[in-house]
Amino acid sequence: MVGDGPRLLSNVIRSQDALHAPYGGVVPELAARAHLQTLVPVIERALEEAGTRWEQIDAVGVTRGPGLIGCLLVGVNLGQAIAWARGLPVIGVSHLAAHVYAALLEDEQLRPPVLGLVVSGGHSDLIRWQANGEIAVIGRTRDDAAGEAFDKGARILGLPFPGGPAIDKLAASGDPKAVAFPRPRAPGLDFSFSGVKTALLYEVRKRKTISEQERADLAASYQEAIVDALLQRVEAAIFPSPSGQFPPPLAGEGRVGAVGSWQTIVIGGGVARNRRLREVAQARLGHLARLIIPAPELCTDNAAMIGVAALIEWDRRGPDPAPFDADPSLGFG
Amino acid sequence: MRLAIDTSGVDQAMVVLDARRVLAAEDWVRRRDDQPVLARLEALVKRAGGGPDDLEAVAAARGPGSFTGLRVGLSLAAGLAYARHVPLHLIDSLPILARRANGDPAMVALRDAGRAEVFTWREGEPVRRMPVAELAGWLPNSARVIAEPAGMLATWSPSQAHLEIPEADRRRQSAALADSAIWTFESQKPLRYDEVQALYVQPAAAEERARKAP
Ligand SMILES: [Zn+2]
Repeated sequence: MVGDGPRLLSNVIRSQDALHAPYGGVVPELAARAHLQTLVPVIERALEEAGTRWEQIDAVGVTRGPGLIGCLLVGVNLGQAIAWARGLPVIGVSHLAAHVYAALLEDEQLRPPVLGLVVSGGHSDLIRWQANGEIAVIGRTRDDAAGEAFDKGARILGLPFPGGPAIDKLAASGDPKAVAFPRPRAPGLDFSFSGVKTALLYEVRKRKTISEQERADLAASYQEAIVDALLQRVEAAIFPSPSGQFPPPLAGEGRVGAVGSWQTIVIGGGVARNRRLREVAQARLGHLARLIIPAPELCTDNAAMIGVAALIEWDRRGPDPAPFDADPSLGFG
Repeated sequence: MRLAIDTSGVDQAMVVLDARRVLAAEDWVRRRDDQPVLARLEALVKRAGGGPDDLEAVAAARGPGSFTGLRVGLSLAAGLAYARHVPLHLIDSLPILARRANGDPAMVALRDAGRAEVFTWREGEPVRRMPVAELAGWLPNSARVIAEPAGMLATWSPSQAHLEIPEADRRRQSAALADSAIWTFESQKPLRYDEVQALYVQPAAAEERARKAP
């Protein structure tokens, strides 16, 4: 539940991690089954925690995509049915854009242009939130998303799903310099994580036995490689190479190319909960621009960010005039 | 007014009822880039001469059937019932299909389940999902059978093709849905929202694999 400002009134998260953990990853069919049963109770609790009644609600925001079709269908249809039944306007929004907009809950004055990094289990995107309100993707992953890289790395290290938090925890007692994993070499501002994953696999196979300290060192070094690869691309977007290898700034954005050209950098998405990423990002980017990494509970998938996105879209284009379908391959639009 | 939705099969339908009277009904065939079901629903309720405030109960077909269709129908029904604080019902899909027979309902209802499998139901038995090859052994020697899509029994079990009620003797899906909905609204207990679930005749594939794994 989000109020004007935007102001966070309540944010109820029903995690399915426990449901999927035995399978080592998200099972779409189970996710969709659980969605049907949990959505109304979660909405009820969000209203309750905000101390709100339906009579006080002005509009309904709902994720139109991207994501698993079975889950999107439930949200899109249930959200719009409620809205119609209560005579409320609906705004369908992009889940990805919402990860960027979540930063408004940390700073309500935040306005584009913003350089954003969205990192999750499904995405690793570098974006420009432009002055005209549109979001342009300037870098994306060539293979795995950062979250997938964590999940796969965790599996190689014998850690439970979800991999990100497991590696984060174990890495705290490891040496990030113990193993020099290769840094991904995708062209331009793109990401690639398959190389570092393969390198981890070889490191593990090389050893006959792995002590707990070694495992922690591997986790820390692996995490360091991913964090470094992510931040390296953010830096590259701030300082385009002289060879012009990186895409030039878009019209109307201005002041790109000089130190401090980006007033604001936002890092969002589930992987932005990673403590090492937050720490190193602060150290490397904090002095170059205003860096906003929303609180962990606003980085993980949540409805508060969808509410903020709905407020932003409302100002930009107004509510959706007619019922719409889920769009599993929707981008930031 | 009461609303019932069946988006579980190929032939889909919606009806608006006033007690036992059908105020408005719509039938359509599932297509890939169809308009959103909610758009049809809004138009239908309007055609019935009402609006969302007039809803007194909502029902949706719970399968077995299309994964996508079921999620649409169940989510819409749950959203409407919740938003209007009215009773929510789920209706088994194959008994609805059985009511498409002219006259008495069919004793056996079959729905294509894809991958050479078929959903089967007969009076007094739970719904099953079986390989097409097993159908001949399961089907009674004499029974009125209704199949979806129509005419499929000739493909599934050619020697029993004569058991299938011909397409010309079938009513529209909305007529069958109206009958089932009236019976459900009048005799069944509404559900809680955390009970809203499609009818699965088998566990999720992943659950199955995990159970079989050593
Ligand atoms: Zn996300």
